[in-house]
Amino acid sequence: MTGRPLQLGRRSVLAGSATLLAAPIAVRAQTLAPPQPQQQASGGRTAVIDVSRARADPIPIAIPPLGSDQIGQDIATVITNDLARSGLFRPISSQAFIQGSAGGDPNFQNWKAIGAQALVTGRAEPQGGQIRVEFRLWDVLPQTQIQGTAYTAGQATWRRIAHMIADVIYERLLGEKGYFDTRIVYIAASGPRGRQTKRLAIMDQDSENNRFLTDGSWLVLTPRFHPTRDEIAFMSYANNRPRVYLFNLGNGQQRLLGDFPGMTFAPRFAPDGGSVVMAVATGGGSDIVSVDLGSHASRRLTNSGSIDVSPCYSPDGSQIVFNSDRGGDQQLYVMGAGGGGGKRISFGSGRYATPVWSPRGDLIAFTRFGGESGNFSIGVMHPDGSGERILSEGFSVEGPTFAPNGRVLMFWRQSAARDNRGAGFSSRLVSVDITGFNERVVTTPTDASDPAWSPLAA
Amino acid sequence: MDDWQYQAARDRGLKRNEKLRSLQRQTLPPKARYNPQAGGAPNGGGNPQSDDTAALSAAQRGAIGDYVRRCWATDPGMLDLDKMEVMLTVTTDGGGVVRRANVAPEDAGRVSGNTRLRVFSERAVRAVMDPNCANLPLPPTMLGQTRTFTFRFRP
Repeated sequence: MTGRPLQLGRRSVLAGSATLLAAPIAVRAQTLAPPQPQQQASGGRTAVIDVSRARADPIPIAIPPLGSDQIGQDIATVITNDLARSGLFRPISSQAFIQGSAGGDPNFQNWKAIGAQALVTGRAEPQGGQIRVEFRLWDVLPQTQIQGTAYTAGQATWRRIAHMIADVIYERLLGEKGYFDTRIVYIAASGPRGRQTKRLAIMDQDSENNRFLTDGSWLVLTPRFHPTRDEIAFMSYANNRPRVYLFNLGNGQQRLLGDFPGMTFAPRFAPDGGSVVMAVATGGGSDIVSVDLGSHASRRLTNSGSIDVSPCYSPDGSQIVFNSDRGGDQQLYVMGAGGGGGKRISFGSGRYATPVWSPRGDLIAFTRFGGESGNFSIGVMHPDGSGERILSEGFSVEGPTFAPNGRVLMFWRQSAARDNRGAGFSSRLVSVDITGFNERVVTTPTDASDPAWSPLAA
Repeated sequence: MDDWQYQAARDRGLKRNEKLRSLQRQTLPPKARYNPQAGGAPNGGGNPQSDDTAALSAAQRGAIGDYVRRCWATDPGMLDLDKMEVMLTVTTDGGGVVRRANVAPEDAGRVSGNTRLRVFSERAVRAVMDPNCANLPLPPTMLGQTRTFTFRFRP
């Protein structure tokens, strides 16, 4: 496959220098210039037309079929669904199209007339067992091409190519990496409530290609993706000993992680993938332990005599957020990756659990329960504890996981049963934008819980 | 007449015209205007920092800003959105319809080195060129010729 175009170049480096050089000049001008009676606009202009208080409308985009073959139609459909599901794009119905996709430059008036601001054209051509897909992204109003990429791969990977194209469009129009070429690992539950079989399952982020990784013989919980390898850490009750295992997605092999006398649970990989941090039961409490994946040497990071659980690294690996009852109530704490200490960051009403650090580094997501409403809620706060926002509430919502671009959260929502036999009970995966909008149920073949989002595919 | 004689005669004629033109007194103000696309002072003089925006009253600028705001949309979850700001140079035709919108020269370097700011500025361009907002409510006295305005977009 062809690589994505390089975004940084000499111009960006020069631009950075220009900004640095401009700073002292601006300061001097401010010192010498007399006070202006009129507000001075940037760039020394005294008069500008201000436009502010922007709306949050999605970008209207037209995605006609990529060529006349069925596969071109299918690829366009996958791209359309990916972008629509993000809530940040509004794909225009194909029934509104005045013209289909064609070679050469598009007739922009036709796309402008139906309200499109962005347009995708291209073609998909099967060549033997391969498929070549080329696409162009157009900015309709200035009438310019802003992206052009081609992919060649086996025909069976056409869905993946479609996700990759959706990622390129997302990144070009929103300025942040997409998350469509990713997978979700989760716990699939089937059978009557109270006696449910729980299996490790994996699927694409759009709910396709679902497969079960374990047979349900033993209870499994809290799967987590390795940041670089095709590997999952999870907790299993195999042989009635709850411990953390590693599952190799390539060959299906499982191996025990560390050999601790007590229960180990809530594993999470370090950002470099070289170690796992998890909780280890000790007497009446639990401590946080880091285990090196190469040497299997372990290192205790907390020793507070309380229940310290759910550790998660910051994206740069320098800090760990976890929850602890060391202050008398279950709250969130941040400590250095080397362990020791810990500064409390949650101060709202209720108890806090399952913290997870955003890959962007700007937010920590959590589950909160109790408080004024008495319900469970999923929320986010800044790493210093400020700016707490609740994104979703319900009878039971918990276990947030971030998309690899830090833009979307997935968690699971359970509904209350209407009777003792569990009628009406369900457990579903739900995604929500970090702004709190665009909450959607994620389709799974069975009841589902404990989602974990994969990193972007290499 | 040989070629070289013809060439010499033509050069003499051009020089004479140039001399007469330089001796002619200027009786009208310069018509050439600052060209923001060129990024420098025009040959006819003028203030590089001026465009038609200064000829609008504060109320007129506010009305135009409100008009374009209807089409101004950003991604509220964008990282550092609250720090974003971009200036656009917008050119309208005689009917007051936006025909061209570009990042203002003073912001061009900043925008090209920052992916998020570039995306922010592209959405600003789409807002001002949107068919629902491109027909700016200019005062009638400003219609009838090409105009250039400076817009500042903030979240």
